[in-house]
Amino acid sequence: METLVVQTGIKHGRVAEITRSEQGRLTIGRGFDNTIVLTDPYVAPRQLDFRCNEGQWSVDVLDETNPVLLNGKVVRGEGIAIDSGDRLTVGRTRLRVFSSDHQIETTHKLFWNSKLHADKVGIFTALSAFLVVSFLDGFFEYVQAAITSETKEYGFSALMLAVVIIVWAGIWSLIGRLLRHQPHFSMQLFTTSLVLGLLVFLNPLITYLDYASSSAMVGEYAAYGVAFIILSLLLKFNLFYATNIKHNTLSAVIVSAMIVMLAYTAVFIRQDTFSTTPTFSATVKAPFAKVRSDQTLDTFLGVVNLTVERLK
Amino acid sequence: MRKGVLTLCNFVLIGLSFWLFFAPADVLGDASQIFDDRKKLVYQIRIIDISSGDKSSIGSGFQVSADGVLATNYHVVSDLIHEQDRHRLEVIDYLGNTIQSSLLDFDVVHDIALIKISTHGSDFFRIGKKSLSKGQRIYSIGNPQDLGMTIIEGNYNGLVENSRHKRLLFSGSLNPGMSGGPAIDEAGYVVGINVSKGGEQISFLVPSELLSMRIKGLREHASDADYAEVIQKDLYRDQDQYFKRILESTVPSELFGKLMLPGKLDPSLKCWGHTVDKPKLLYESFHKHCRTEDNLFIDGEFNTGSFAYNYEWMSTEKLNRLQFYHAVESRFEHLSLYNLDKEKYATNLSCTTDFVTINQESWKASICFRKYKQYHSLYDATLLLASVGQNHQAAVVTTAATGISKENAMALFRMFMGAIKWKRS
Repeated sequence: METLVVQTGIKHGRVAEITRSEQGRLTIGRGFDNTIVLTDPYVAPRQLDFRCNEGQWSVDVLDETNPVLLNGKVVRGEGIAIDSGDRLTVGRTRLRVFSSDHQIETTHKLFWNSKLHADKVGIFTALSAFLVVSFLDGFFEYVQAAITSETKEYGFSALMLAVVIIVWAGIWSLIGRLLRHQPHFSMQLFTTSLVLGLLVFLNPLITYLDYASSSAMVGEYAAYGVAFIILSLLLKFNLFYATNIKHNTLSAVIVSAMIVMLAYTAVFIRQDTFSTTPTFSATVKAPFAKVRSDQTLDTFLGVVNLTVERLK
Repeated sequence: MRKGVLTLCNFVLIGLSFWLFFAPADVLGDASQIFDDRKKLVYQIRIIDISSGDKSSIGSGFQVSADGVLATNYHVVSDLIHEQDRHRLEVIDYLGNTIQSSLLDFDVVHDIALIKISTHGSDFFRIGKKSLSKGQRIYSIGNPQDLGMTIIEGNYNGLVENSRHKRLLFSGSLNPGMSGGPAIDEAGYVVGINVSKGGEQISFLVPSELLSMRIKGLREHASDADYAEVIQKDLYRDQDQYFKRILESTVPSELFGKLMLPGKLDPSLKCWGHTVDKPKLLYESFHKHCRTEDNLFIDGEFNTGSFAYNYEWMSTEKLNRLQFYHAVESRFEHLSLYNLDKEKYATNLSCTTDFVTINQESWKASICFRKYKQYHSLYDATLLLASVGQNHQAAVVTTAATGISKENAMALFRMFMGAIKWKRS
């Protein structure tokens, strides 16, 4: 006869509590004579009675003060058939029942397991990445935008990015410590540095798209696009090291999309319907950056004319 | 900060009441004598907000014909013209009696309004026909800041030189509260109507000849919609005359940095130049700004009729190309328009931006237009250009015109862009 295994107190990254049936029977309730004693006040003293008849498990609901859910549906009465892997909700407690020969799911492969996993990246590597990225940020700013002999602000820009990286990595380490008992600070610092380093390279792309298309709208959407990419990557790694969420990539993408859409909506709502300042592509770049050929004066003024005619 | 903004600051409108007196005698007596003699020809003009029952603006008017026509400023009665259903006109004589009155005609371009009253005497102020010489003493009469009747003595200084619209320069100090009052010469003839102040001892009058012309060419108007149409036609004609004159004359060309650019396009423009002197800046730069200095008052929150253009030359030996174009980008802005800031007056600015080859050189060009909602053939238009073909030298050109027709704006911008040439060394 197969043994019924009931899993309670399901927590990611921790050992679940397991109770096995004895001689084809298992009971659940608040009373001390049950096989599994739940302290949940919304559970009856004798709530569920599992039995095995000719290899098939079924359960009797003994008390209907509160509904009992089997895979999300209310069940009543006696002899309800149970399959391995079913989810039960009793009162405010959730349980899963398995047969002892339940097929255990395959092991998840660690992302970049040989290259990047925790012990391989020490605090030294993480700090190096952190310092390189912070320096690159200041250096890039300087090479592109320094038009006065005052260079302090570029050091300040680098410092600001460094603070953001440290604080962000710190927060996620704390979350990891709480949810998985492991802070993985080096990994959080390393991946946060790399992703924000990518931002240093992607940022000029936004203005470049504005410039190449001569459209402020393209630049605006490019900015949202880059924000989405960076946030998704960042959250993917942060979630991966700090939690045991199975679909961390999907979760990161969904959360990032929501944040970007919220930001877009907020900007849209706050926008005045009437403005005295024009919206136009205000990016000017060095001649070598130009990819598109010029309009003739006549063509350009022709487009202006059409735009003016559309004004209502 | 940009210096080439379309500033409106030195146009201080004078909009309160006064009581006028005047003797059209050969020799002017002293002020108190004239006041006693002529005060019945002066009226207070009030625009009453119908909902609250109180005045929304006050000024004064003076009788200029035997059949009871009063002259005042357009800006004194503009509330009534724009929102006829929310305002009514009230004319009060020297005894404090309210007299039945109606708006006859107005001229938004020259800031004149004519009012017809039903009860009046046959005497009236005569308009001077003799031209005065500069420095001659004239008097302006009014009630500054409602402090009581005053006479200001000053000097006649003829028409303001190089002004887009005709204004007399009165070297005296008009103050808020004197709008609509007459300025008179020593023989007692009307020289002009008090209208605005430009600075310490710099005041402006509407020339009396414009008042005469308006009285002769009196137009009858009926309703609110009609008024908007009148304003639109007057504004359209005014800008058309001005810009046609500019567009039909030969464009003066002058060297600016290494560019040939349009010089002073019209005597009405005032041009200024300066070199940017910031020791820490790693590029050299100098500017030229040209602009007209008089605007047309439409209502308290809306004016129009300005024209300005700025040039900026930038060059460097110390910056790399990325840094230099970052500097150019920081200067790549359309001229700010401060002539209106409410949705009810105009649409949003709609811009077209692209790279354009002008006389074999590449420029980034942006043109924005916004359309006036009430005066639908008029626009505010701005042009912005930056040269993008050279590595270490560039120019930024900006132009703006308010209250201009689409045709004139397009022709003006085409003229500007066509006139730009790099000077090959």
